[in-house]
Amino acid sequence: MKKLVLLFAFMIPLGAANVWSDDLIMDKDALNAMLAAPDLVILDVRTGKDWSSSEFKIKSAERAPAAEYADWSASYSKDKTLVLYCA
Amino acid sequence: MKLFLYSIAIPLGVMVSPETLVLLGNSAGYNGMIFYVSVATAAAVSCMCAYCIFYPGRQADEENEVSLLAKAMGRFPAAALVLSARLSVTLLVATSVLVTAGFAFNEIFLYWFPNFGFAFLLLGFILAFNIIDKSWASSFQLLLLTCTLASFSVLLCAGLSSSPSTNTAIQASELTSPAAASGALLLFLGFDLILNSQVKNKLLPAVAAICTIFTLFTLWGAVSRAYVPSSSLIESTLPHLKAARAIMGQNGRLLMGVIVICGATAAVNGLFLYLGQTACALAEQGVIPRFKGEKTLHRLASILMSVTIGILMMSGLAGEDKLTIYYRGALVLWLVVLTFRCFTSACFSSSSKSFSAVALTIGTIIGLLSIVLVAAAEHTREQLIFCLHVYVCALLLMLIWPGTVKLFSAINR
Repeated sequence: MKKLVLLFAFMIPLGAANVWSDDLIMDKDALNAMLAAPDLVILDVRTGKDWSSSEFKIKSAERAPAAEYADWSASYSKDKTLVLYCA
Repeated sequence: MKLFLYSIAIPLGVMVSPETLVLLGNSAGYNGMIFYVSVATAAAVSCMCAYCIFYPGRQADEENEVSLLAKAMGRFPAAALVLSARLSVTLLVATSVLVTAGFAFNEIFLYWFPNFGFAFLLLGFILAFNIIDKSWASSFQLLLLTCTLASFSVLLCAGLSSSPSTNTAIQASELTSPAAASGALLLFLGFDLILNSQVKNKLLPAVAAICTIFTLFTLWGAVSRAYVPSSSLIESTLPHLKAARAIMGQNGRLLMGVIVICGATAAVNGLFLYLGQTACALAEQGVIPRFKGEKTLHRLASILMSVTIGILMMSGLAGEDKLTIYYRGALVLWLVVLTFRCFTSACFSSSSKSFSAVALTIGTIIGLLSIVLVAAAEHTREQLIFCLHVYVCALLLMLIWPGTVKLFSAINR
């Protein structure tokens, strides 16, 4: 649980690769502080062994494989705060 | 005694791999009686299969799995079947378990150490021991196995001697799964990996390995069921770690970390050791270049395997769901090899009719269980396509290689 990547929903249509910056990276303490937020959605984008071999899984996280980004990205409301957990 | 321990270390090492522990933990979550019956049945079938393929009076000293299968199937189809099963299992098991060991080290022992770095470090160690000498690799295998079994024993003793703090019995699931029951056979895969050079009677170490694993896994299954709710065991991707933590807390977690890392390394090292023998058997059949002696061939096979595993890990295969599909496909190919070995024993044995009947029955049972496993899999089609692709590629390679053999013979002359 080293780094958590935070992406706001309104930025997703712009393309994740274009908006990558340090402002969008958060640590576990920052995430812990906002866990109670009602608009928070944590997405675990790990797949395969990256996901199954890891002991650290956030309980309320939803699985959203990175490769299937096009499928699931549209299903979340723009009012939500999406936190993508990748490592 | 020393030779016996060396010979049992390879099958045991493969059987205690982290992948097997996941399968065991998930299976233990299902209906208790079915779990125990399926594990006992799988152990019995494995013992009978070992009896059929290692029957002492039947196997001539110069015979190996390729030469025996070649009598029934023809040289190239037999060599292709053995090569496709052994290669795919070695490459995919290694990729899978080394990455798992990397995660275990990173998350349990050293948070700052990169998991892939550790996976490559383990691969480097295994390669180094196999290049230096096979005896070094065998001693390394014994050491790894001792650490694994000792840690397992401590956890088991702790689990059996104390009672769980929460009552999981009331949450016991009555779920049943035909796939989980037939998958119990996979827990014992590896009993056939006895090196020719180590013992003359291969049946004894094979049966000893099966009995050891049966005892260990049955007890671990019972302890896991006592400490972790069944539903949690079924759903978890790391049921063994959950059980270890429930038994001994942080110390249990550390011990399970040792089991996962040593078990993963033992599985890969064991497969490397056995693949060297398979390469020699294929060279004897003239379907791969002979090179200069058994040791050189073993070293070359180890280097080739390590490079390929390294490429597979770097390509990110471990991070993809299809690794599990391929891995299961490779295990099915292994079961197909066992099926054909039983059939070959039945058809080409000078032994009694009753032995042939037993061999035919066991071969049929293993064959049917492989079909059930493929049919019950989540990705049946992909698994079948993988198996066919691997076999066809191996067959094509076999057909191309005679030319290479001639070329090498000319060069060596």
